[in-house]
Amino acid sequence: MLSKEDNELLCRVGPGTPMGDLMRQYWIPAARSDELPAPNGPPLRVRLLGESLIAFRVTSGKVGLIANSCPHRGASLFYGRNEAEGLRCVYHGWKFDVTGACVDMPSEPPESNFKHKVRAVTYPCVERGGIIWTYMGTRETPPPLPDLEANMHPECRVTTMIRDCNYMQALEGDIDTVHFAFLHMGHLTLEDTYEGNFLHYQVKERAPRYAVTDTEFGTCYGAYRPAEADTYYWRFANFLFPCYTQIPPGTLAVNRGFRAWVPMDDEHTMFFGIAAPPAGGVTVFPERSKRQDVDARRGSSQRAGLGITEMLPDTTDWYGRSRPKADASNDYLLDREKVQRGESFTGLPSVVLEDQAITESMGPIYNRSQEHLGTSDIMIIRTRLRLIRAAQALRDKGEIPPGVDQPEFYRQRSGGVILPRSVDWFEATRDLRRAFVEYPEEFVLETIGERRPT
Amino acid sequence: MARWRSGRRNIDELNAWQKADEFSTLLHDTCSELHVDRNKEWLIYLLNQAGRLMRDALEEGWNRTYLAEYLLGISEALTFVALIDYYLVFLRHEGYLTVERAHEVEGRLSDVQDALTALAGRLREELRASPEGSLSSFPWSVN
Repeated sequence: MLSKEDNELLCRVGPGTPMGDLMRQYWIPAARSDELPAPNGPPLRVRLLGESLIAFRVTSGKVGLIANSCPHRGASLFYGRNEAEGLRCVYHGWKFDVTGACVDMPSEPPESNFKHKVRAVTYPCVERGGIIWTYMGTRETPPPLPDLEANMHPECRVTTMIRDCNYMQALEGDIDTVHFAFLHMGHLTLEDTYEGNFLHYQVKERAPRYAVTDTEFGTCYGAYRPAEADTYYWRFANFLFPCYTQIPPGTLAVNRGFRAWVPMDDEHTMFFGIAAPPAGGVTVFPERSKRQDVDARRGSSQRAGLGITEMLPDTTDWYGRSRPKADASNDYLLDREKVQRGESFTGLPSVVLEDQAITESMGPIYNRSQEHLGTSDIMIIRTRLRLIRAAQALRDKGEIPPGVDQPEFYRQRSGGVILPRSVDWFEATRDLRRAFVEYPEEFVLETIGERRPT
Repeated sequence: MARWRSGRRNIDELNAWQKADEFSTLLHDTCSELHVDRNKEWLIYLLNQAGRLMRDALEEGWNRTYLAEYLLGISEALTFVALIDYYLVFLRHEGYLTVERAHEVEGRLSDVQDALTALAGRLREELRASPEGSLSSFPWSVN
């Protein structure tokens, strides 16, 4: 439960809002690099933090991000001509480079110096690991990019999907660990699991206990359940300022991925899923079920709930990129017969779409003054407090929020691990939670309570 | 392994537990005084529950086998502190708690948090220093 004022503070991200100002302290993902595949290619409409922007790749390959409205008469630069290191407004021919400088103003007399007095609003962009990052803040020299491991890996993979709701309710789904055992795995019984793997422990005890802590990068929780007589199964997940999560499925010692919930505006979010091969090349599946294995043998990963989400072709609309075929207009392709057959808890096509449907069903901006958060929602509570207090500290005292100038804070991992009950959960996993470390396979297997069959 | 049951004091002799216990009672009394709308009664229930669980987590940790599990109990107790803090802020914003009462309760909660944080810090030091502490007791410690 939040007061209406705090909910507004948490959710509104437009220019001049406390949370919008906080977001603008950081580099944030604006688009995938492959959305601007070629120099001088078609510009791209991008909504970001409530602003309407046009992304374009110029002749040299650099990317520009410019305010939609031409500073001359307000025409949309989406219709601009992308030519020779700049974007030219087709209305009167004014041309801007990636820094916002007006480099040509053919509608004014040749002797006029007016073009040197005019600048378009632009934001600096850099590309790394298939993401176009932008900085929308006020510093002349932007802060460093965050050291997010997957995005710095040569085999970084980026997927995007629009979500028609506020960024915070989408993000909160990632740090709400209990829902996994219900929304995604509620149909499974112990007989569907392999004894001794992570899923087995989750199904056996669907309500874990928690330890949550504030960290230098945001918040971290460890959810634990009994595993064997003298061990616990722990799931670690992170929230990292301002809009990143690292989720708990998989193996802590090798997980490299992270997720970004980038606010397009108050009611739309672009999800960026960033993945890289497991550290050390160690591939393990501690959460597989027997059903998944059967389905995989049949070649039906979709039925196992892990299938690739079918996407609509991108359109040039502000909200036309990365849109799944299943959405509210078709009830997310709900199939209640799958529930009857015991194949799914929800009847929705996949894990991704289960999350999508549920968080969008809460409305464009969830009204948190009506909710009833309980003791199992503590990570959500702590993360909200952290964000709200950081936004207030920035607004009231000019305090720079965590991680802006400390890229190393982002060197984190999340995932599952089996720990002896005799060890301190936080200290014992300090090394495992650290990114850019590779462990031998035998060691990784021990951390999940497995050994390779000999 | 850092087993530690024998020869311990009773938990009610511990300063941090006393503070948690007293706070739990204060929270209960404060909740009893509140006049909330019917649709907010769940909040009173939850606050009371969190106060109790905070205290119980400490006690449960104390009674487990390993020192690390006591530390885990303290971590859980701190988690309930955060939950109580969150809802106290809400009650103050909505005018259910007077400013004076809010200051008193929040101040005492802060004392509990400080005591638990300090205790957790000391235990971590002990675990690090102990030859049977966390890292050396790992079955899979590497490098």
